[in-house]
Amino acid sequence: MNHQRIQNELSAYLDDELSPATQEQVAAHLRGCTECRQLLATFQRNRRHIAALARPVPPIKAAVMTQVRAQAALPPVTVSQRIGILFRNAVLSLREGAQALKKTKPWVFQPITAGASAVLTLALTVGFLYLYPTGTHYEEALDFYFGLHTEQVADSPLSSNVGTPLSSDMINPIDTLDDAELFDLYLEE
Amino acid sequence: MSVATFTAYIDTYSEVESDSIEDFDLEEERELVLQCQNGDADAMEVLVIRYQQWAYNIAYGLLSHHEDAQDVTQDAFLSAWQNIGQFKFKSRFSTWFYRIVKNKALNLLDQRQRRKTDPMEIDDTQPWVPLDTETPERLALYEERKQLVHAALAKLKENHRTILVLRELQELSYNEIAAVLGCTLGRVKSRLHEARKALKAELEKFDYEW
Repeated sequence: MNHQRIQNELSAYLDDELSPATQEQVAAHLRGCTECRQLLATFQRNRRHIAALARPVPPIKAAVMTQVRAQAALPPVTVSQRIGILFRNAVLSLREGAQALKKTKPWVFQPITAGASAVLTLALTVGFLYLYPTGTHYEEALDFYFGLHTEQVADSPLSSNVGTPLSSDMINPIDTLDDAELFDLYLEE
Repeated sequence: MSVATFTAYIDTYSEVESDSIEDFDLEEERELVLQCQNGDADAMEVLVIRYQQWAYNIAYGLLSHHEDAQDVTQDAFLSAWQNIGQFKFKSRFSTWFYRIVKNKALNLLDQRQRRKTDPMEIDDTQPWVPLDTETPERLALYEERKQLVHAALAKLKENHRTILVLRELQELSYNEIAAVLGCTLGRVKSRLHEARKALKAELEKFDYEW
């Protein structure tokens, strides 16, 4: 390898990432090339400068673990598991909704309906007990109306005719004719 | 630094394992992720303890702002928890999680740039934990140097800054970087080389004895 190619390998040489054969070639070149030795020394020195930037880690563990433990109730999952969880949650939501609907009482069993029904029932009961026409006044009124009705029935020409044969003067002669006789009568007139 | 803050730092440090991420047992990590997918917050706490340091440093490397990096890290963990069900074990959890951190940090940067505010405001309100052997003069030198490195990183292209943070600050392998960035190994190799040369050019612009 020529000088330029060797120089391009110096970085990997420093990191011991070359094959043994190439490593040996570079080492041999370095023994005779001041420029490459200086470049390698600079790389080594700068490595130390960057490494010196390392600093002790601040106390982050407590802060991280506080949040991790807070989230531990919801274990991390894969994407497919997430989709499964979303689907399951959707099904559960639907099921809960259905159960909530089942638990909902029909309007007739709603408290307001029951209350109104109770008030109405009470009113009717009170009305029946205190306002229903009972006693002597009621009986007198009934007697009056029954008597009146009886008189009306007795005076009724319809009821008085029941069972009594009709007299001949009460019968219209036309009513006794059949259709042929009525037709002859019509022709005669 | 108050006593309470210092105590919190000590507590945090005591929980962070010093192994690299690649040392984590894959089977154990898989088991933890599975438990998280079943909603186990305790398993998530283990992952937070394991990855908070790396996640924060990626965010801080990209944002150069302590509070923003803290917010992004917390947000990334919460996103990971909320979306852990989508993790299909096609990569390491760390790779998947780093991608979340990187995306959230870059989104925040993008929002800042759209608001035309200074995206790379150097934040030094959070005190660096000093080593007993360091003198005040050396600490002051470190702080100045860090500010310059932050400023140089801020001037780089976004993809150069990201790959440098992942490699130099986070020490991810080329394979992990390729997985986080969603590109080929060859692209990682060439982009990292370009990024290192770009950083070298930016740092050399400062009148500073590196």
